Amino acid sequence: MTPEQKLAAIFAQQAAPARDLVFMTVVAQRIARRRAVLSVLAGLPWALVAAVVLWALQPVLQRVWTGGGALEPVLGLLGLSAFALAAAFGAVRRLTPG
Amino acid sequence: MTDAELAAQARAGSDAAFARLIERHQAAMRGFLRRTLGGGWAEADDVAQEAILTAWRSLHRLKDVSSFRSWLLGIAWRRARDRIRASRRGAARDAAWLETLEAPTGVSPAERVALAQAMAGLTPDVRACVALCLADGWSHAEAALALSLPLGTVKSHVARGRARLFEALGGSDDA
Repeated sequence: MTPEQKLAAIFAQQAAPARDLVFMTVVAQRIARRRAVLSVLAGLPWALVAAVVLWALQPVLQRVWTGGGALEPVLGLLGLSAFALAAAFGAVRRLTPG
Repeated sequence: MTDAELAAQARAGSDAAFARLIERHQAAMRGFLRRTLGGGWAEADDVAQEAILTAWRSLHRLKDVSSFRSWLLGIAWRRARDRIRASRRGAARDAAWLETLEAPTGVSPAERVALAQAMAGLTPDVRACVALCLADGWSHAEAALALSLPLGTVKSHVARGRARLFEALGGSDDA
C-alpha cells in the first residue's frame, strides 16, 4: 500500500456511522429540553405583566367582588392562569410544524 | 431535497427539515471533531451536540442557505477550539486515541502509532485542515469557509500536514 492508501484506510476507520439513531435521539432530547426552558422563560415576562395588571386592578376587582373573603387567592389563580395561557400559546407557536 | 431547500425550511421553523439536515451531516461533523479533538467518541459527540444546539438557536444568522454544511462545521470547529484551549492538554493527548484503534489491513501497528504521534504533533489548525481536506475530501475553499481561515493558509496547512503524515508512514510527499 502507498502511504496515501494507508492514510485513507486509517481515516476511513475513524468515520462515524452514516446513520446513528442513538445520537439523533440524544440530540432531539437536548433540543426539546432547551426549547422547554426557553418557552418557560419566554412566558415569565407575560406572567409579570399579568400580575402587575391584576395588582393595579385590585381596587376595581375588590368593588366588583361582593362575595367577601380574600381577593388574593382569586388574583393568584388569575395570575397563574394568565401565565399558563401565555406559556401554552408560546409553546404551541414554537412547536407547530413549519 | 437539497441542503439549501432544507435550510430555508429550517430557518422558517421546520423541525423536520433541521433534523434531516443534521442527519445528513452528523457523521462528517463527528468524524471531524474526533480527529481534531483527539479524544474518544464521547468527547466528540458531546461537542457535536453542543454545536447542533448552537446551530438550532442561531439558524436566523445563517445568511447563505446553500452553505449549511460549512456553517455547521464552522460552529463545531469553534466549539472544538474552545474545548482544546480550555483543557490546555498536551499534544500527546490530542491523538492518543488513534493508538487505541486496530490497524486496518495493510497498515502495521507501528505505522498506526507513528501516524498517531504525527497527528499529535500537528497544531489544531493544521489538524483541522487535514481532517477536512485529506480525511473527508473537502475542497480547500470549503475548508477555508468552514474554518474561517484564508485559502492560502488552508492550502499550506494541508500540504504541511500531508508531508508530516506521509513521512510518518514511511513515504514522502511529492505533491
